Amino acid sequence: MTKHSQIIEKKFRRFLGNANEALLANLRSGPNRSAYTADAVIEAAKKRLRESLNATETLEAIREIASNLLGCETMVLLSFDRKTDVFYPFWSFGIDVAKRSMMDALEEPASYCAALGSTYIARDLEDQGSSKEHPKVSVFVPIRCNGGIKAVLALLQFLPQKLGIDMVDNEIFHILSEEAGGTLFCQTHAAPATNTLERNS
Amino acid sequence: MAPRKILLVDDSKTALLMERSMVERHSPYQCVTASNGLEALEKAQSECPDLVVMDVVMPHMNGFEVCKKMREEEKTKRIPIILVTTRGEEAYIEAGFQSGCNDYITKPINGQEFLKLLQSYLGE
Repeated sequence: MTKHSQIIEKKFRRFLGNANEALLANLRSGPNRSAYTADAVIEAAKKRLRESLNATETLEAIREIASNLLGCETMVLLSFDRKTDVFYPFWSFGIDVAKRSMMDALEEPASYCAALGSTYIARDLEDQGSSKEHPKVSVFVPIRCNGGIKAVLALLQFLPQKLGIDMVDNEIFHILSEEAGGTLFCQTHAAPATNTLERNS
Repeated sequence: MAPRKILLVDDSKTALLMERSMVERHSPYQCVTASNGLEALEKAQSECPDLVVMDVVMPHMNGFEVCKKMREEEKTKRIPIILVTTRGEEAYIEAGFQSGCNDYITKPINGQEFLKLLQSYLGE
């Protein structure tokens, strides 16, 4: 463990207490979608993002990918201000992030994800006792642009039929991390903060 | 013999891309697509598909309504319909079957199970 990661762990020890090893072990051994058809899922995610030409289209692509490919219909994109080290809601779907308590709850795991520089899986913020085999989780995906992390996508409250995070999901998190940031944060005009509460597939 | 034809219906470009890619890469079936309920009804008439795979929540006309309409039309009433949605609640599934669908699956789709289901309707 590097000195840097030791500092991060120390800083976020309280949060790490929730994302315990047993939880992560269960997630790693969760049900796998067929590798046989993984290519189709991964190709759809990549193509959808690459065909999105502006911020509005990219946000819709993120929503569709989360809903159709990952099984998550509640999400927040938190933009990261490096100067102040503060996250603020850039866009959300299915949840009201105007509530201060929600932002407070998201800030720690989002900060941890940004510091790690990789996808971070944690016990769901509202999990009151799901089974050990299928714990409810939230996933925090760093959104990159020009080599830097510009935002964190928080995927909250996965659908009940979604029983685990598999290797296809991990590949989609990676695609979102590498490809969603371009039109959102690397162009002159970024989309304004928006909030959408209704829409199901 | 002409390849079996599937009408894929979803207002999500992502879902259509994925379903189409799964079918075309891993099965012998041919695909046509529609992105809303009205277009689905038109294509069900004009394309005469062997199977319809359809999302439920869509603009203009939802999957349940399209299902009912298709069952009323002579030309489309025998076409098998699989509804695909994120909603797995019992009441929703029941509403799907009441509208006349043959099968009901939830997103995110398991590719292998999806292809097996298609095969059960269309054969090898």
